[in-house]
Amino acid sequence: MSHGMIASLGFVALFALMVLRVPVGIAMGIVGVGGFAAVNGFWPGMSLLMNSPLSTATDYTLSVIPMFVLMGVFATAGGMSRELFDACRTWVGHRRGGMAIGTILACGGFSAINGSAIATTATMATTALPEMRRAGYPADMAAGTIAAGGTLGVIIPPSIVMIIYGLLTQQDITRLFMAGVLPGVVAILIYIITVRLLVWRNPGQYEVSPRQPWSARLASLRNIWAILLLFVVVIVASFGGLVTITEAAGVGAVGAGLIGWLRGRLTLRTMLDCMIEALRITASIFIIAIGAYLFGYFLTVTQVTQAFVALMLDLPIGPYGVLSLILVLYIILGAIMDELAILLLTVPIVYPVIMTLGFDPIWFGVVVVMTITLGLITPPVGMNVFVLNSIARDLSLGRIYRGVAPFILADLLRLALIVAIPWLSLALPNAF
Amino acid sequence: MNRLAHWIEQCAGLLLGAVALVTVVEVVLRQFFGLQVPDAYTLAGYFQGIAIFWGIAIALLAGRHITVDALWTACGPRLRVLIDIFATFMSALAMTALTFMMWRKVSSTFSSGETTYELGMLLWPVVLCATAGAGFGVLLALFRLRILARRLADGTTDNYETP
Repeated sequence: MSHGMIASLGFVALFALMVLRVPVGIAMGIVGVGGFAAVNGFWPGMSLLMNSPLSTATDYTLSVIPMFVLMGVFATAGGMSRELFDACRTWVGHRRGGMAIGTILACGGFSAINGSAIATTATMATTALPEMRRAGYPADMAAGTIAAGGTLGVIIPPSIVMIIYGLLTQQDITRLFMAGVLPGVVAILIYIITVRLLVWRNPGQYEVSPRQPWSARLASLRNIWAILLLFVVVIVASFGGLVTITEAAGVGAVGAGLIGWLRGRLTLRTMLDCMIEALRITASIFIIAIGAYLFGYFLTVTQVTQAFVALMLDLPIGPYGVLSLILVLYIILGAIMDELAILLLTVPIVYPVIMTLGFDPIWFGVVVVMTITLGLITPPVGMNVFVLNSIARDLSLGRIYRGVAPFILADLLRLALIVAIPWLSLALPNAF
Repeated sequence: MNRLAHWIEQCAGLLLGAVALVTVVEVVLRQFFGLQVPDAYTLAGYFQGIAIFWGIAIALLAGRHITVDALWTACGPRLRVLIDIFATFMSALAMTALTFMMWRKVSSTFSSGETTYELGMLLWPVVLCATAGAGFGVLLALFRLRILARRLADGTTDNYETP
């Protein structure tokens, strides 16, 4: 059987296994080992299982993932998101739609210490959604705001998805984090504009809270010292080169736990629960990473990547045409698959094309993360929407999708801006 | 079985906490005292590896791994259980192959007497602990398979996600 045939059968098998709900990582592993064995023989294929999974799981550079996950879980359990939301509401709550704007700002702030969209969405759904509904905001708009705001967890550093991209492409994770800062700010601004437009269309639906005095506003900032401290320690220490990004993540995890414990928000029991939660998230990420590494061997022996690069370069549509094609593919995949799985499955194939076309790898990292983030709020499988639906059971998926629709348009506009103006992504990493 | 899984999950969670602690101790000693913990990051990596293999095993029982649910959500309850049975069977098969090959790795590491670079600690117990996690994954996948098969036979078709 030719390598091309094995590759085609491998991809068919992979998608069949995934559609039949075999865990993505296991499906990738099965096809990786099976495909390698089809080319090189049974035992050479099986021998991949002897070393690759263990070396992936014990790789200390990958510790950056569980450490940032643990930091986010501690921060959530320690009530930091609530304080952030209260502070943001105190500052902007007197504006029409101010509570929704406050939610977006709180999502952005919380994302600076938490790299998961789902965690950001879940925590804001329990904090901000009841407040907005109590204030009479339309439920679908309130839910849409939180679902969209939750995606900031992936864009604003530290971002688990960006870490995975960095590890896959061997790009400096600190530079990638720097690259995500300005696009993150752009995302917040565009979401705020979206909220303002929604309010402008139906101003009567949005109550205005009384304006808070400056003393109350400044007092609200006192409560967010913990988030600022964590952000400074983790991001500034790693951006400044004092510690590696993995070390910064470890310090952030212990710091978040310690702060929660010293403030009496976390007991030893809840800290253990946090570690279990972090383990659950980490295990589900690592099984995909293990599968992706095995799948990588299959790609190498069947030379799929080279064939894909040649195919893309032969298309008479130019570099930006190829890029657009790839981004459309990501949007489609994002609608049905988990963002980490998409990244681990496709980046080894797509990245060489992007490099051959001469695009910047850091910029592409931001672009690809922004693109697959769309999948978190688009039907049929918008994970943030599902999370909201699981917390606010009285809100149907249809209503939440309706509420999130204006933010999808905002995301597409943001993506166009990030693609058209690479400076937004590259200004900070190039400045340091 | 669920209680055992929970107990193991606690131990694995503590190992993940240990990775964070080792990292902080290493950073503090290096930055403030110019000292280094021998094999700190090697040990942290091994803690992580063991925790992950046990975590993967327990996620198999709970059906908590990341999956593509597009077809599954569109199916009726009975078909959903059938899909879950197939997926769990494939997972059990994959974990069996992994455990078998990792066991060979235990044997080879034991025979070679491989050690860590600085402390000279034997590595085979670490590989054995990780392999035991993978093996436990096979057991848990089979346990889940049994539960799903019973539910199919009984006509109980609500989701089985978390023990």
